[in-house]
Amino acid sequence: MNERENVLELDEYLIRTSNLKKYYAEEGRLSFFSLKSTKSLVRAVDQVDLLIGRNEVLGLVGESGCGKSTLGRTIIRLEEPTSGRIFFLGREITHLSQHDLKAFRKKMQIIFQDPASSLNPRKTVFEIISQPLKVHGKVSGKKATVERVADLFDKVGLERNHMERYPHQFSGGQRQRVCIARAIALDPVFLVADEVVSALDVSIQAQILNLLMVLKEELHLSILFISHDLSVVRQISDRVAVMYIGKIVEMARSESLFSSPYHPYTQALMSAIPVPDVDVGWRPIILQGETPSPSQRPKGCSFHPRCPKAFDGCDREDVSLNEMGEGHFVACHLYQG
Amino acid sequence: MSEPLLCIRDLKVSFRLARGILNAVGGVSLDIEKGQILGLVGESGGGKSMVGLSVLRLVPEGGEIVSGRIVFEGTNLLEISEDEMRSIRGSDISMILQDPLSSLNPAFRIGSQIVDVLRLHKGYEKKEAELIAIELLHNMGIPDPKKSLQKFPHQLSGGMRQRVVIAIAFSCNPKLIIADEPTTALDVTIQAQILRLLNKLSDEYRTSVLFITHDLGIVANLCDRVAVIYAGEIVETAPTRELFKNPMHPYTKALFRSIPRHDRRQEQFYSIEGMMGTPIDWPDRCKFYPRCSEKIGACGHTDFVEVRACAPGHHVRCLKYE
Amino acid sequence: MIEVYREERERFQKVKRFLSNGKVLFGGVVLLLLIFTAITAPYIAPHDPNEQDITATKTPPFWMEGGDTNHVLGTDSLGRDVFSRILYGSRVAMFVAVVGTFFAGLIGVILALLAGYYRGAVDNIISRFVDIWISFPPILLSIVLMAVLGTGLTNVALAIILVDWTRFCRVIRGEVFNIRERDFILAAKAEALGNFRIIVKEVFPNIIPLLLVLVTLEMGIAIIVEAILSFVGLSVEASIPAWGQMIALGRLYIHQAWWIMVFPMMCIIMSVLGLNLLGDGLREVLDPRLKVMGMK
Repeated sequence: MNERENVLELDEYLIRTSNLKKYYAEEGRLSFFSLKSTKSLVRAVDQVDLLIGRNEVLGLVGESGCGKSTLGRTIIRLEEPTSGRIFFLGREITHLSQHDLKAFRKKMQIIFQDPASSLNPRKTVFEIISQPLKVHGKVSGKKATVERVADLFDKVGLERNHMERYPHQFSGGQRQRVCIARAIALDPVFLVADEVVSALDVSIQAQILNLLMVLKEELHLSILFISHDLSVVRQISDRVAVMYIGKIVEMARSESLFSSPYHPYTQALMSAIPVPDVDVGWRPIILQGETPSPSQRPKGCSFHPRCPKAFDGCDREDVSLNEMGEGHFVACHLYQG
Repeated sequence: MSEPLLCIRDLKVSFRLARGILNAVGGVSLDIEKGQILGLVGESGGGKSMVGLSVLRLVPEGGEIVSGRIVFEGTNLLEISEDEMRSIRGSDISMILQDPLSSLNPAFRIGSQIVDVLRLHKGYEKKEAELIAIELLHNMGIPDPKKSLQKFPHQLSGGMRQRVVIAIAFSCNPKLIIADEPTTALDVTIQAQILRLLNKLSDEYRTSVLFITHDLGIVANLCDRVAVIYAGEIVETAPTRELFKNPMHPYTKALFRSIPRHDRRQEQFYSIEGMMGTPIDWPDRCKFYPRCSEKIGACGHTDFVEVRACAPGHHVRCLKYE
Repeated sequence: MIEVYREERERFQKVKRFLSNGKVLFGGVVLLLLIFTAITAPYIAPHDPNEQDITATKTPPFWMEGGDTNHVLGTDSLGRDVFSRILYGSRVAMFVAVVGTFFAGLIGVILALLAGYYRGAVDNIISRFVDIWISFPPILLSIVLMAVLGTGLTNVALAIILVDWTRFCRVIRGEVFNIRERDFILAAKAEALGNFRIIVKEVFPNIIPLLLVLVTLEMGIAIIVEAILSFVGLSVEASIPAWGQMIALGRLYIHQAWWIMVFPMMCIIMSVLGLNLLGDGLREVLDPRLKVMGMK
């Protein structure tokens, strides 16, 4: 734990989580002979220690069901953590009441994947963006509100005179810009971007990513960039964390992770993506079987049943993140001691 | 050079909406040879799915194939009866769609869904068909095939379901498979498994594939030949290697520039200005004109841009090459 | 999916879309006619509906032999003008339809919002309550209620409210479930909006389309229930004309004076048909509008 904190000076971290857990109880199948229904535990986020510095983009990658979205939401307390601690700007926010949390809500915002579902179809975009401003008392009076919303529109590249339109009148990329405008309306310092470009066409993705980069610089934001798309993550992140069934299996500076991934899962993940280049071959490391569901985590290292490099002992002992040097952390028995 | 297996000429598909007639596909021509995997690449709304559906005459409600020819093994599919078409669907030409959950009937066990197709098109007896189904599932890499026959779609994972869909598609030894974004909804590691499987099967069964996708990475590594579609028209066709080494159409070039790659770092994201829009906005002349960074004088005035060959097997629809 | 993105005058388009649907048009006209008749009956009815004329009992409609233009639809066994009674009958029908539907909807929607939004224990309690309530056969329940409450127009409305609120509750609850899962609710939470505000400002506006459809259907149901109750004499007093009552009386004379029964029947049929079609049409118009229009 101490080693990791040396990576970014203690003063500089924005978000710190300690042993963060988010477990759900899942209704299991009723066995014919039992009177009780079995409940299985879904360990969506399992003992995650994370650090996010100021003005930093941390990419969070993993495949579906790994818990990355849940982690993002738990950090900003849109989901209640089961246990563990969350620190924001040095203050612990894990157990704050909704009322006390309100002050923090201004500073941390979230953008979702599906712009169609994250905008209320019955409201105009002006109403949608001005709502947080009103709730937090950032502006008063109609004129000031309109000016502020127009200002936000300019920042995200939308036309001012479209304020009275409804979400369905915009394209997917434009709706995502509206979501971004809403997220930055309260001048946050931290943004969770949950698969924000996954639903967009490639040429529009680039527009939105450029916008996020510009805003990050202008507004001194830190971004937790959640995505399943490694190619996008590489371009936008300073550091990257890879998740597998609720745990972080590898974390490093972006260049370091992509040029030399240590964890067998990371290696398989990267090899699986076909590169749009006929001179680069495609030799995916094919993993056996499928990702087990988070309610049925294998014992020991959760990746061992599918790992091409598993050995005796991988199935018994669990493994935690270990530093390989230069801020590169891996959770793998191959590199323990 | 033998006849291509599938020969589409000037396919036009229109939709009749309250606001008028929209041309979703405005004159698409392409060829697929026997045993070839042709990638049809484009962004959503460009018409690529509609082309795939048209081959099977499954254009959705409200749309119709207005003109053109779709010649499959010498027969124009647009001129045969619905009964004849039905005997082709599923046996000579099959389809694999993006969402396996809606391609499979949730109310029936997967075994019966495979068996039904086999009995319908090949006339097998139930027991025979079951044995073939078990063999198919085994070929698809589905563990414990006999037991799996009894499972319902929702009891399988996404990757497994897609394998079942593929099993059904290959069950009658089709000559052509139309795969519309078959791996888009799957995780990347599962996608790798499925693409490898498709490649192996298409080799084994000598099946041609029309692989519809927006993913240029898949195209580079799976397809023999590529056609790029924009706003309902094919703007460029070439053998895969040629297209990636030597893209001609400004849209193709812009597309290549804007895709992020995970194997190298880019300083900036290249985006293409503007949007493709919808069929209402598409003019008769070059549809890429408003977004093109390589316009020449004639582009704004010419009403119809023809397809020209600019290298062997390489065709472009662009005034710069006339 | 491609989205249509155009510079359109939104409100004008909305109205045009509504009117272009045949069912909405037809149903809308029926509804307007009903409202109009209910309000203006005292002014446009040619006769006092209770005025008996024993010299002119069972006169046929004016186009038949023996008919009289003084009584365009004929008279009943007590010489009362059928047309006037029908007009006045619409007042009963509309009162019950409007009042009954409004309050049934109010109760149903409030409970549905609470159950659907908070879920858990709140939902369990409300849903079990609804389940129990629904298991009573509705007509039987209305009759029992009337027997307990006594007859009278307001009691009829009350009976309908007590029976039909469950329909609103069940259906709306399902929709609230759907809406609650959408990201914009989570976004509202991220803006630190309180639950009450979220329910009122984010959830409720999204159930309005469904609610409109339910309201029109419920109005049709209310009219039928009132008709049934007045048919068995459990609705309003005999001195107030009601369609069901007219049918009950007219039944006795079906062979000699069919018009006494047939015309009120037609009114019920037309009203309910119109309201149902309106509901159907509204659903057609509103549903695709909410979805993104276009094609793949």
